[in-house]
Amino acid sequence: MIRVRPGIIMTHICGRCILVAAYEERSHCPYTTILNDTGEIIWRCLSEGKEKNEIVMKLKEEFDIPSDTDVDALVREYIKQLRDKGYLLNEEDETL
Amino acid sequence: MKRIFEFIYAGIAVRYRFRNNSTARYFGRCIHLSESEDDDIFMNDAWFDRFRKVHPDDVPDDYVEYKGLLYLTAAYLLSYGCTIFHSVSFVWKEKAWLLAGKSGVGKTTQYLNWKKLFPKEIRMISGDMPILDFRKGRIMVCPSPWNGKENFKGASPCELGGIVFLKQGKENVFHEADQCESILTLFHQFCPIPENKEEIRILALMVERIEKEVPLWTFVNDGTQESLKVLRSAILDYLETEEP
Repeated sequence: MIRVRPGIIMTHICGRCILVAAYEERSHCPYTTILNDTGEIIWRCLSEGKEKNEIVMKLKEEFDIPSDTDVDALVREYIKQLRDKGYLLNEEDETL
Repeated sequence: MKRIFEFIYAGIAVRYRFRNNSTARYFGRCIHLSESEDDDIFMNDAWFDRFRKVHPDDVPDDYVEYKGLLYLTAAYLLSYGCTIFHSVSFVWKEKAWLLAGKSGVGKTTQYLNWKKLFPKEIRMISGDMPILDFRKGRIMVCPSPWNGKENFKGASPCELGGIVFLKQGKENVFHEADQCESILTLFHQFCPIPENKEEIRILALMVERIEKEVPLWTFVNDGTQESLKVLRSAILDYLETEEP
């Protein structure tokens, strides 16, 4: 299961979606990051504990995506970016 | 028994119980002993250790406490609708202007340039950490005891006119700030280190009010007196177009 790091708060400013890391988390990830519309939906789904295939379905529902687009790869890449930035827990974090 | 000291920020009395009574000296003449036995802010061992670690050993404990209290005070003021914003702030044409940016980007240099070229037209509010007061229909800029290494301090509160994000460069280019960039920069210039959802929510509201209520610019500059003329002229142009 993919888990978001506790202490990461999603907020909106002037219509823009932003992730903000509370104090203790700032050593693991950037203090702030702006998400685009796709990123916001992916983050919401991850926060609700949804799995990758559920996120892919959700994106297909929300957006008019061309049939030849590899949504699965897009989600996988986005999750990788979030993990690389430290916004998602790795297995080693879970065992600490 | 530890004495309680009181300092007034934008009309809000904040009571400190210092770890070292000598810490009070960094707050200048405006701090005074309180009759109260209760404090609002006390830096516990864990917080002190965090700040002690980032200062060299020869920096005295009372100075470390004073520097660390900046963050505790900024967080405390959030619940009152105020906080502390890292910038050089001064009054010009009856409005407060903030020069913001990372340390070393040239905020003080531009202020000194202005003071040198047009000595009588600006007054310093805070050289490093003014208070922003969001409680009324406008955003007010007020002095604080954290005034940077030059210890520039002075003028009374004034309504915020605009914010200039400074960046170092080889040319002098002044333009409206990109919204995404300015949102992130504003967050980073606020001093509180938010510890929970509520503090982040309040900071986000403050960022949004700034975005909506005052002009935000980016000024890439070479730090010369010529660059100051570009900066001053650009704000002047804005003021002339804004006037009814």
